Amino acid sequence: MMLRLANILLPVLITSIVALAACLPWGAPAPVQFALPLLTMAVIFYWAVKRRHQLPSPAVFLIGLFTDLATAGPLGYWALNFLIAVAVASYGIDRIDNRRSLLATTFAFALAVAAVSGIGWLLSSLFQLRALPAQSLTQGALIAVAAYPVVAYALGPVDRLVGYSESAASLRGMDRT
Amino acid sequence: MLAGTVLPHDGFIRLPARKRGGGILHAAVLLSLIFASLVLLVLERVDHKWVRVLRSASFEVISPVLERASQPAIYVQHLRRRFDGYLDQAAEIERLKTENQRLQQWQWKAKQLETETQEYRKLLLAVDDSGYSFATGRVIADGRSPFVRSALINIGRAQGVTNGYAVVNSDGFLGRIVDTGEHSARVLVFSDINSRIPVEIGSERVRAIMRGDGDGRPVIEFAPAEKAIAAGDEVLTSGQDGLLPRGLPVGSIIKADHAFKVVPRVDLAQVDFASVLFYAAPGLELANGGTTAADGSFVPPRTR
Repeated sequence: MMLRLANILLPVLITSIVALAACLPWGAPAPVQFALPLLTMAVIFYWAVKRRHQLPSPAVFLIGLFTDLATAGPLGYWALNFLIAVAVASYGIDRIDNRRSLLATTFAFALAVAAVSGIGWLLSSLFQLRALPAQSLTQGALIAVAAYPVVAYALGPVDRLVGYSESAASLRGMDRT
Repeated sequence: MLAGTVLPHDGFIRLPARKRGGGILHAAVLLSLIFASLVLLVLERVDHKWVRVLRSASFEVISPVLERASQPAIYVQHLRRRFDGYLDQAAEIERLKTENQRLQQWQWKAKQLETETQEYRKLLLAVDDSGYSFATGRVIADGRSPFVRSALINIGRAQGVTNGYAVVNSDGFLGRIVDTGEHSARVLVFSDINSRIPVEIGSERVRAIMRGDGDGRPVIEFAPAEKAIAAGDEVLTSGQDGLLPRGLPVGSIIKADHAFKVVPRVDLAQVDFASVLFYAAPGLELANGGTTAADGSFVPPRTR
């Protein structure tokens, strides 16, 4: 029972750990630093595509707020970005490819990253009333998109483990009935 | 068990597919949370007291977690630095030899100037600048956006840190404190887009404002005598804002994109320790809630 619960909570747990790791001072070059929260977004996107019901939107919102508070950024910024990723994963990807192949999901993730980076740049530029340099932002976004297949590959075994737990639970449920 | 059930070749039962993307409840919750995020952003923009309270409260909860979690990150940083050091050790020795020769010449010159300055000070009956006391903390998290450059350090009010204090490390000026918790504080790094620091440039001491533009190369603005500025000139804090001490080294000038920019002395990507200078200027007292009395005298805030 506990093991099954742990398996079911795995998506939330893994995403939280990645979000925490993304806030730590790794001393990486600037573009990689900017890409780190986008890696959290990649994990959120993966679960939103594969197992949306196991990473509910309120959990995504809280992880976003945690990222905002830990990185001392504007409150609501990463929460909004992560929720936009969930929205693209939930409602956008079927329009691209309803089989949800890796290529299609990577493409959809690239769209989500482009959307959040564009909105972030636009809001910051409007706030400052001048066009801010976008080079670091673009580099960070490209790194995150390139890393998505790696994230998907790394999370594959966890996805299968959670799937196995669900199947086993269903079998027991069917057995009882 | 499960008489009549035929398992697929991989042994997994296929559950009834959930409606993809669907569900009015999911959509409603998602939209509500997006709206809540936007409301938070607006509240942040108007600096609402709820946001400040939430941020302060979260400092106490998040800081201990980040402090423990940052240990492996710090270890990785040190490991990488050591590895980089091994890679170019020969070149580094050569560079240090050259630098040593140059510094010995400077040392001789500095000693001469020091004696000269002391004589002038005696003649002018000048009062000595008091040295600053400071507290050093570790960076436990840093900003993760091209436009927000800030860092969280593990010292706060309990160690005497107050909003507005200057933050430096061994290389030079880093930023100033903008939020304080009991045992943690947030540093607004000078390259943040919201940062404006009064500086003086070169031997002519040209006064200007250094504006953060998010990409790690702040821009020089409002310099009255741009002709007196040249690439390579040193940039120091001028203390003109009445908040920061004068003379903290910031970086050096380069000319790029038809503007003067500053190459920071501090490697902003690799800051692991930071010192907060306890420099309580009158401007700082005013910024933290002090007032000016009717006779023009300064009344400090009641609680510090």
